[in-house]
Amino acid sequence: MAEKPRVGLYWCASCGGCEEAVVDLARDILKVVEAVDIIFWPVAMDFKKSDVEAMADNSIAVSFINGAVRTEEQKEMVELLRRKSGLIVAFGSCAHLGGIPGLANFWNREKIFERVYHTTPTTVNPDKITPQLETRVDKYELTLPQFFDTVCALDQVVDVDYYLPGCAPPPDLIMDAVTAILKGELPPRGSVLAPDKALCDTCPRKDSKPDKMKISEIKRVHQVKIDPEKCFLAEGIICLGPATRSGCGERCINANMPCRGCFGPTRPVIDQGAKFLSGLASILEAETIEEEEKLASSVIDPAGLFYMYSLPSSILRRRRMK
Amino acid sequence: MKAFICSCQKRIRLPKIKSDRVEIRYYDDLCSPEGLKFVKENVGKDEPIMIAGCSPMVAERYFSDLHPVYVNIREQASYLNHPQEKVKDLIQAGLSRLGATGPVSRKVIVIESKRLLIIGGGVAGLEAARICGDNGLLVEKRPYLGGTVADLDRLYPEGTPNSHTIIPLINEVLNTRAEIWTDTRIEEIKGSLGNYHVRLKKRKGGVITCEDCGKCTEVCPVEVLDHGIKRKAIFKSPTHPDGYIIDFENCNLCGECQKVCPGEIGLDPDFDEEELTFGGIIVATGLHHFDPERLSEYGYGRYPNVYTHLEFERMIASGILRPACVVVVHCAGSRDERYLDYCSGICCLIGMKEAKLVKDRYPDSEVYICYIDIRVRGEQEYFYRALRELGVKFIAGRPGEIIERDGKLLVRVEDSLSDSVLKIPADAVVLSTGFLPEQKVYDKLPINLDRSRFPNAYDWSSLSVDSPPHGILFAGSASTPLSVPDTILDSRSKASMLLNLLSQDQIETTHPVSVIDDDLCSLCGLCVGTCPYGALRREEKIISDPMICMGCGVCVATCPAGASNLEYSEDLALKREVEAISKKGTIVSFLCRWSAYPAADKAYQIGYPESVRIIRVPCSGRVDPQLVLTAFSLGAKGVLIGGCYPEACHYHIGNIMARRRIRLLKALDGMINPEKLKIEWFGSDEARKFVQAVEDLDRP
Repeated sequence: MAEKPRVGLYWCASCGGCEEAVVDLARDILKVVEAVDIIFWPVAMDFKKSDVEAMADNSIAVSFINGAVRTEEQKEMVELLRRKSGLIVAFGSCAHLGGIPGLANFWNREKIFERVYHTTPTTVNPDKITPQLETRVDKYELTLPQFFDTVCALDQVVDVDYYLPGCAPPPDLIMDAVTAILKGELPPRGSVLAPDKALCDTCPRKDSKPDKMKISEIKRVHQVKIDPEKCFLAEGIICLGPATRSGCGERCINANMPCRGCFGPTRPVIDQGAKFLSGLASILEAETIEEEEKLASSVIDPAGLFYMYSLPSSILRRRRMK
Repeated sequence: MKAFICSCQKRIRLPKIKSDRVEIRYYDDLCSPEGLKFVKENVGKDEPIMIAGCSPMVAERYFSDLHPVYVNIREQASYLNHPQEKVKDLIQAGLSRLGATGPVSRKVIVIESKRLLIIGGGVAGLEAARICGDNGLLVEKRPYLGGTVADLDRLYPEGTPNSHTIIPLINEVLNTRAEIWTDTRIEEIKGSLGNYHVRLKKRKGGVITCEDCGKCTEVCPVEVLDHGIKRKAIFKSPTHPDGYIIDFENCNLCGECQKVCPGEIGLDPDFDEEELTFGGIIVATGLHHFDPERLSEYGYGRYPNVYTHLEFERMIASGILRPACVVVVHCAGSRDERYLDYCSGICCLIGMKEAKLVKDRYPDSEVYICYIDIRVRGEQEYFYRALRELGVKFIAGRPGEIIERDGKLLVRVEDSLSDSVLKIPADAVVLSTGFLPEQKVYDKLPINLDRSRFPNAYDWSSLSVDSPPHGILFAGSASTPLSVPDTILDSRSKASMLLNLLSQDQIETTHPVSVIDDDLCSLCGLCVGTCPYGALRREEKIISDPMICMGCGVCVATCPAGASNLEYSEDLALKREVEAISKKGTIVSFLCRWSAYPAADKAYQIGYPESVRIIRVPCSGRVDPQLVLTAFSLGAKGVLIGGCYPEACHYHIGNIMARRRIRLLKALDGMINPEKLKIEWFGSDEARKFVQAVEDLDRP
């Protein structure tokens, strides 16, 4: 029997949901385990970094890496896995785009530490202790990895071969990807392993769209009773569906929540947030400049909303800090 | 790919440029006959080319059919004495763009039919039919020709009886052998320029042979009040056809007329359907009168002596009315946000015409005209003076109300000139109301029209030289309320335009249009409502009609999925250009080709910082926010978007779209310094304003 392909799984700055997604394959995971040899998966099995270092370069067929890169340790690990792996798949929104941890790019290390270690109401830290790279305790030198100012998407640190989008990637896309890898039927390198069209293409509410989309009032989800049949945008509720790749299975839409963009932009678009912003601005219905101003200012936290999942991979990548 | 670099008769010092991909040719005067020949001989069919030299504002005179990428090294560098490095940079940026721009598609329209359908048998339709001759079919919904003018007694300003105009015009049309169908409806229109399939419904019944005896009218039991004048359901035609005609809208089909008729009358109210093909369509459906019953303060419909101008004219002309005191109310319902918020432009002269009609017939009568402004054009001002000399009293105020007292009407009006409140007792009040477009046929036309008013946007784009040729034109008062002479001129020119277009066997155009990639389009539909021309429509996919698209690119910047692109200003081409010119410290300016770019072109006389880099876009509404962010990410110090003044956008709303996008971009919390992102409006001569704008951005 030929040797089974060796597969690694790793997590960086993420919530653990992507690991959960692998487990969510349910019975299908048995097929995967049958077909491949999992040689590295820290969340489920006991491996050490040294185990990976001991492997030959390119000896791992494919590594699935989830999470954004925000520390020196994560950077080291993904660089190591890059060396040891034939293919790197960015698994989930955070590895693909930066994801929710990427929202940290509205601040920097100093501001984040200040908030987390000193000013949150639940913090008790009378000695104003803040993590340091090196600390001496008695005769021991303790070290912590560097915490970066800017969170990166995986491909901003190492070359990425494929992207599996989603927060978290849905089981059918994961299985499709695994099957394609096993059969060697992969699209061109750099592809996102999801359909090319935006979410409206598969949205169950698409038939409720009016001929001409116009928004004369912007509503937020907690302020209105949402009609479970109607297009969110047509109702004035901001939905990133038109700017977001499909393939998610419309999980949010079916739960009566608008799209927040976790699948990232479509193929020709670099900056999902800017593109959505442009589309939204263009359908605002205002007769006067005052009405226009009122509508525009009724978009609460536009940067956080338009770039909820994609700030690190956007064109500007982060906020300018003084 | 080729690049032609011109020294403008050695006025520009040219750098040596190297490129692996593009063949570079130098020349000293590309715009000379030899130079033009040199370019044409060296360019293959649809080969992308670049021309570096003078401004495209000049170069376009010579090369527009080739759609080259223009690089303006004269007005943007050489004339400014900017360093040679900048000339090099600009050319390199042009080469980057050249590599990413595709040829502009050729749109070939085959003219399947050279016939014209003319909808409407009023003055406009008749004039169009006269021009088209036997190439035209004129259809009219009423049983007789002449439209609004046929119902009038006389035309302004002199009071020429309408017979001076309408009868000779009808006779001319009949002489040209244009086909005429009265009592006909439009059922459906499909297709586009050169090939419209039209389903028409023609009334089966009617007077077949007529001896003009009038017995039918005597026995007809149905009386109809037709704008102030009573007539029967079968009646003498005021124009063409000759003899008697049937008003099937009111006829009760009793058959009394058939019994007495020595000729033949058919009373079948149904229609025969016919399907015909036309190359073009003239919409000459005219206008209809604003209904004054909505103006409750004037009591129309409540008081019998309050008339519309048409009713009054017909009644006084036929001798039914002999009022001693008449008040003509101008702007009845016009220029009023509650009713018609616009000026119809022709009603002042109509109101004055009615005043003169009274004075002509009954010189001793008292006539008042209440007005807000007298809006007449050119020499027609004399008519106002002539009326004053005739004794017509002009009161500068719109009546507040009209009440009835002791059998008389009492008109209450504040005269703003004498600052006094007048109460005029009148026998008759004439409401000079405005006009609305006759829109019944709009649903049938395969074009998108704003229903709130006259089809101005469509009409103007149909006349614009940079628009694709239109197969459907609005003529006469269907496009905007017009006097009879203006109607004739408008209709004549539009019929000639269409005939001229249809005289070709096929029409080829290469204007850049938006193109949708169906493999990427999710039918989100955001673009559809942004098109100022209605070129986009949603069917099983989103369709961009290249024969309506003007190429502004508003929809392209709108598309959140990047599924839409604009020929000649493709996303990738613009991105490459932005990437090439954006460096640390540059001021990147996206300027619309209509106003902002020409303003910047003149700014070399004043001078501006070297760091300024200009990208020419069809419209500020084309600017995709990604381009702005790209410029900043590469170190640009500032970004300027330049467009036309708010109401003056060449594409109506492109600049407003740009303003909204910039407004939201500035709200991206801390990602951009809002002071370094500017949107500014320019007149095409406002070079100083441009310099000011870029200098502001250049300041630390």
